[in-house]
Amino acid sequence: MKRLSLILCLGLAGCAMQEMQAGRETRIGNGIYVTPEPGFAEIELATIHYWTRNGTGLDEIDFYTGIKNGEPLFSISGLAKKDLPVFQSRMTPNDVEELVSRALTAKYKQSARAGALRPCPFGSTTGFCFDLTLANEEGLEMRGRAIARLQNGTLDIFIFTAPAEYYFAEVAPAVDRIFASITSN
Amino acid sequence: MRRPALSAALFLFAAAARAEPPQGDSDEAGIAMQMTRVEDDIKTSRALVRDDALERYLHGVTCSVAGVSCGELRVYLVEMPGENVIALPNGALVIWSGTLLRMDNEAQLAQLLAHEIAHYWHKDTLRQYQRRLDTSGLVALLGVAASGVGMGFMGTPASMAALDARYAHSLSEEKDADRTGLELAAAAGYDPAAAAAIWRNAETDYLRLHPGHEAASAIKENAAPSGRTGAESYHAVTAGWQSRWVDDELRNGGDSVSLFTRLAVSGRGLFRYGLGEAYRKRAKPGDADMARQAFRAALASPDAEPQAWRGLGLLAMQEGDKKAARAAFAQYRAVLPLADDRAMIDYYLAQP
Repeated sequence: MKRLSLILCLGLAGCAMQEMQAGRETRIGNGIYVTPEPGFAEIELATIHYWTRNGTGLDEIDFYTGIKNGEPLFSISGLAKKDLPVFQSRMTPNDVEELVSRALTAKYKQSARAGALRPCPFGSTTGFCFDLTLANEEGLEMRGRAIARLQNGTLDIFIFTAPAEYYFAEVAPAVDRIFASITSN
Repeated sequence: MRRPALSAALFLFAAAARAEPPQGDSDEAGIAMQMTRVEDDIKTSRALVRDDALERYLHGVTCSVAGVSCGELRVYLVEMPGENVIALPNGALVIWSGTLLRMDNEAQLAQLLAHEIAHYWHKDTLRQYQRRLDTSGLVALLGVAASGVGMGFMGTPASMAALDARYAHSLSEEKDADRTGLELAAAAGYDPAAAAAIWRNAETDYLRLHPGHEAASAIKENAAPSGRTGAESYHAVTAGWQSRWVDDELRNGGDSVSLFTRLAVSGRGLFRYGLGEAYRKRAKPGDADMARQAFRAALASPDAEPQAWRGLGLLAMQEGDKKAARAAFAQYRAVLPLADDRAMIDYYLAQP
């Protein structure tokens, strides 16, 4: 499956893909490091940066760091910046949970929902996690999990999504270990 | 004496207006084929609200105003914030759930459905799509068709507004649909004053897509109440969904203060809570006090909404008032011990 991602990536200008070295701490951004699990590859395409084990669309961990007040979580093809859901520094974890479901709804053009908001270790600090249920643009049922922290008015958030059938359960334990490996300055 | 005569006239009109199957390779046949695909997508969409009682109810209201052409109409309720009802050219009626949140009673819903059924009878939507084929092509057509189905961001109120007049029916089509719709609902025994209420309450985006209702509203505004409103049956069948639809509106990200200000007039705790959250999220100067006031009103309502405790807690947390936040979160945990976010609330409570 990684080969598929590689082929897709090679077809796109500016796309870079490399297999991750398991166990080797990797810098994500905003002073955050995580340690990959075996079998993950890193894909960078313009501002998009994610890891996948089975291939694009089958499982993805998207990394967004240092999001400032008024900035969107990510850009969405076909949507002007003014129409994107944006982070506000006054947001609470409850509000961020809602923001992510709104942003994923806009991204996949299907209703996304978040729930089970709970505190989670984020490096040496306490961040928060929540679960996601969504569907991709083709209507395929997906599940997800997010881990985030609010620090000095900025947001760092990692979002894992995978098809609900097979792939989520297959990859989620490795993703949990990746999230547990977070270290930060 | 007038009602039987009106009913007979509408029966004849409906019978004459019944859609004939489109023939050959005409635009109409092509559009019908595309609409079948869109309808198939609606049927399998995760946005489709699957509730037997609610489906039967909506079908019943539709049939009560559509009369003999009931058999060619299908009604789909999709979970979508905002207000919209779309009559596809093939007889599928797509209702956004946000529409039901905004209706006060069955008579208002019946008026809205009757208006859209009139568009279908008059083949307004078909002509509209044919016009779109002449201009922006099939991609735009399908985008419009997909709106309201949860299949496209085009379906959000903001993007619908962006479509602006390109999507709206013409003024004459709206006036004709208004007239026929009012007659259909009246023949079914619904209070005509409900028509004025829905246009009076409608929000800017919806009115932009449905121009020219001022005259009909003015006439019906002064009409003496007559006919049924169906308020009790309407509330009975929608009550179980309203909390979720309020949540959908709040998650939508737009400014919903005006919507919840209107809904909160009912005195219901759920809508007062919605108003509090709308103010808290908007966060303009003075909104924090308005939010606090609305949350307290929600808790003082006969049907007190316990989520207002969380709203008060989050508001106090944002203001740095830890003592007030702890007090509110403690109440929230006591009233809703199994709340989905209880672990996070416990964390807030444990902060020094």
